[in-house]
Amino acid sequence: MKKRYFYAALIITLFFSGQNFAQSLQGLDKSPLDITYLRPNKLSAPLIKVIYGRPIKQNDIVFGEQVPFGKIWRTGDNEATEVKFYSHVKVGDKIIKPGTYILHTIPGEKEWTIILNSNTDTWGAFFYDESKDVARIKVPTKQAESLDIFSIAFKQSYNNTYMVLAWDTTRVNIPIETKSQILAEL
Amino acid sequence: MKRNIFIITLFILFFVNSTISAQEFKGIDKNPHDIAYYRANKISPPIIKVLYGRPQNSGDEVFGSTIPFDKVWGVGANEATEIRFFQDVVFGDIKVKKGTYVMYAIPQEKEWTIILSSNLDVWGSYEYNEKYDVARVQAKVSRAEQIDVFSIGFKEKGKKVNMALGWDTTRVTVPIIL
Repeated sequence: MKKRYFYAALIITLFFSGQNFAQSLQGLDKSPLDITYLRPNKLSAPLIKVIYGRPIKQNDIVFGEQVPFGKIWRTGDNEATEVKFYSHVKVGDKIIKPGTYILHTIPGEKEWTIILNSNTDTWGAFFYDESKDVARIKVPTKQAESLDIFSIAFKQSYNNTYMVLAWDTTRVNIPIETKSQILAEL
Repeated sequence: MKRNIFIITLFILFFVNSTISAQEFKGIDKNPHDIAYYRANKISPPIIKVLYGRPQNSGDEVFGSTIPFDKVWGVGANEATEIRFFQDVVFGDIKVKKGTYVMYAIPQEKEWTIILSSNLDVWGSYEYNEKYDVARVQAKVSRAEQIDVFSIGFKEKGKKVNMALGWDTTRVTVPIIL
């Protein structure tokens, strides 16, 4: 909660400090940015690219404490997490066009709401605009060994692709059908 | 026939293996990525966005040493640095259409060559190929206080925006006209 006030204050400061902030060359962020690609193999062109900030566990419990349940989360840190699809994909029952989207989530104890939204290049989840949702699905949580750093990775089997959100002991496997899987269904 | 089965098995093993390793969660990279935006003001939509890896040094000389002169450099670390223009711009002295490009540099003592390439989602400068060049501009080197972390920032100057690359005592400035 304190963190929220901190960010709110930070954002207000940013608004009013104008250009000064943009001029300076900044130090490293404490939640560094990372990139995850889904490529069928190491040499092929990417199918999906995720750019996300990687916060580090501070409380004993992340979800329900450090990140509250029932509230929209930037699913990372700093700038809203960005997902780029290089071809059509299917999330839930929605076919999503190639392009860049932001990923927000609403964490819950047993299931999370996963939101893809077209309001890109926004900070955190402060500018969330429901009218720009392109997909909204619910995904049950799973438990696994504890992980200190928020991570996003892809898991692929013969006919399934999952984007896995992982932090603390929580895992959320978001099913994403890639083009070949969509075609196989037809 | 046996040989075919062997090859198929090998293929399946390879496939299964690669999917398992793809699921592993990696730690934080020692050269983390960062984003630099240029916006007319803090709440307006972005005009320029740079996504880049941030290598660090500990007081040693960087350019001409760790990063050699006269060789194409990925202007960062890990995945090649990406620059996106949300509108058409004049980059240095070359007109560039709105879109996303990979940025490379050839560092030199007094002047760098900055290259924009259309071959995206590549690693470092290993896959650099001149045939994808969109722009090549010369940029002056100046000196400033020592910084340990490679940084990219924007500075407004009248109708121009200067993109500054900074590391060690080196600063390189590319004027961009919007």
